Amino acid sequence: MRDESASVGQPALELDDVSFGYGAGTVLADLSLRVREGEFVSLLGPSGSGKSTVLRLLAGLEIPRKGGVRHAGMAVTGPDIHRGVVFQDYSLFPWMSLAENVVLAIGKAHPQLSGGQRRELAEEYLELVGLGDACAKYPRELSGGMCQRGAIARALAMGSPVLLMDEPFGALDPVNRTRLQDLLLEVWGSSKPGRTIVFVTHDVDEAVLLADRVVVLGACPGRIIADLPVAIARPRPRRQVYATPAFQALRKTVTEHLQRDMLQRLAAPYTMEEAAGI
Amino acid sequence: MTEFKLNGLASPVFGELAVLSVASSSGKQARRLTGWLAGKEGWCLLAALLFLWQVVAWVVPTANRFLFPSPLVTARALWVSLPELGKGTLSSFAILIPGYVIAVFAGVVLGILTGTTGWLERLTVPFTRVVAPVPPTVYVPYAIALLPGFRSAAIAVVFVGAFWPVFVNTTAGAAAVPQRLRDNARVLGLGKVAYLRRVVFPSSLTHIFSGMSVGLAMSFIMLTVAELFGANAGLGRFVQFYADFADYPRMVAGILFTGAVTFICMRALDWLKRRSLFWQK
Repeated sequence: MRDESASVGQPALELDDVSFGYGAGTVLADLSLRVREGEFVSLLGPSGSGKSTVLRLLAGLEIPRKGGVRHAGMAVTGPDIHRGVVFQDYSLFPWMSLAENVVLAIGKAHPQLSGGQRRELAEEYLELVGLGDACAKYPRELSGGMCQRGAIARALAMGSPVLLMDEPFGALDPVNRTRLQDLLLEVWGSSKPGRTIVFVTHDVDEAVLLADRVVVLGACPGRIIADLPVAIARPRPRRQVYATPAFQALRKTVTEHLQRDMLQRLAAPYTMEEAAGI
Repeated sequence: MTEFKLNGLASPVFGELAVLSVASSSGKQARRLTGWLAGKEGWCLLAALLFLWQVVAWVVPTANRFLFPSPLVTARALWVSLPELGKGTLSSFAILIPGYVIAVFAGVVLGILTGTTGWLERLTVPFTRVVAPVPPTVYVPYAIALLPGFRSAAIAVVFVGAFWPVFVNTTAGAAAVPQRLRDNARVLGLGKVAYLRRVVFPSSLTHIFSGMSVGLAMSFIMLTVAELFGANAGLGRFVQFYADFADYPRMVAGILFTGAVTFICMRALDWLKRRSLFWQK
C-alpha cells in the first residue's frame, strides 16, 4: 500500500475557475480542480461533460478562456514533456515501428543518450508493458490493446511526473481492458517517486477500481458534481475489491450522481415549457 | 496514364471474353479461364489492339501502307532502331531526371513549409492559383531563347511542368495533417524540424505521391515537346526526325517505344509509392 501521508503534498495540477468553449458554446463553466502529487484521479462523466477538455487543458493542448491552469505552481501555456498524454486510440505514429515511436519520445526526455542507448531504453519500456517481442512491428500490425500498451510505454519513457490519460482503454474489449488496468496499476505502483495520474473514463467500475479519488462531471455545461475519495486499500485485487461493501457503496454513490445529472438534463426542457405556461 | 487507360478499358472486353467462354464451354472451364485471366486483362486488350491494327493494315489499300505501317513492319523498324532509341532514352533521361528530381525536391520542401505556415500559404495561394494552371508548354520557346543551351532550357521546362503538381499537392497534404497527429507531436514536445520531418512529411506522403505521379506525366510531355524544338537526340527528337523524313514505320516505333518507357517509369513510381506507404492500413 502506498503511504498516503507522504504523497499528499503539493498540488501537482491546478485548475482555477476555468471556463472554456468553442465559438458561442460553453464546454466548461467555472471549474476548479486540484490534483495532489502522486495522486491517481479518475474523471468520470457522460459525453458532453467536458472531461476530455479538462484533460486537454491540463495537457496544455487547449488554453482556457478564463481562469488559470498550473502544473507544480507554474502556469501551463502549452504542452511539454513534463506531462505525458495517452490518447484513446492514436498515440502512436503509424509510419514508425513501436520502438521508433518510443525512441522519438526518449529523444526529447533524454537528449544526452546516444542512438543505441535510446533504442535499448525503448526496448526496456516495451518489455515492461509486455511488448518485448513486438519492437519492430508497426501499429497496423498490432491489436488495439497492443497499441495502447505501446502508448503507455511511450508515455512512461518520456519520464513525465504527470500522466494524463484520455479514455485510454475505451476502445478495448473487456479482457484487454482488464489486463491493461492491471498493467497500469502495477506500473504506477512501482514508479518512484509516485506519478500523478489523471484518468478520463466513462466506466464507473474502472474509475473506482483505479483511482484514489473519483471526480464526477455533469454535462451542459461541464462542471464538477461530486468529488469522492476512494478509501480502499491498495493493492486492489479485482475480485476481492468488487465484493467489498466500500466498493459497492462508492459505485452506487457515483452512479446516483450520474443519474441525477442525467435526469435533471432530461427534465430541463419540460420545466422550461411549464414556466412558459404551455 | 497508360496503365490507367488500359485497366479502365479492359474490364468490358474481359467481360465479353468471359461471356463467350461461358457460351462455348462448361461453367467449370469458364471459371478456370476467368481465374487465369484475372490480372491479365490489360495484356488481353493489348493483344486485341495489336490484332485489330494488323487487320486494319491488311484492309488498307497498298498505296497507303506507307502512311499506315502494319505491326510487323513497325516491329522490324523498332528492332533496327533499338540502338538509336537506347541512346535517345539516355539523352532524354539526362534531361528528365535532373528536371524531375529537382522539381520533386523543391516542390516537397516548399510545399511542406507553405502548408504548415499560415502567412506563407496566404502569400502564395493567390499566385499559385494564377500560375499553376498555365500549360507549361508555353514557356518552351522562351526558355530555349533565355537559357544558355538546349539542355539547360529543357531541364528548366521539365522542372516547371513537374514542380506545380508536386508543390500544390504537398501543400494540400501538409495543411491537412490530422489534428490528432498534431496533438501527438505537441505532446511529445517535438521541435519544428523534427515535426516537419517525422510527422508532416510522412503524413503528407499520399498527397506527395499523387503530385509526383501527375508531375511525372507532365515531365514526359514537357520533355518531348522541348525535344521537338531543338534537340539533336532523345525520344521526342527521334519521333520528330523520322516524321520529317516521312519514315512512318520508324516514327510509329518511336511513339510506341516512348509509351513503353513512360509506362515503365510510372510503374517504378507506383512501386516506390507502395514501398513508402507500407504502413498504411
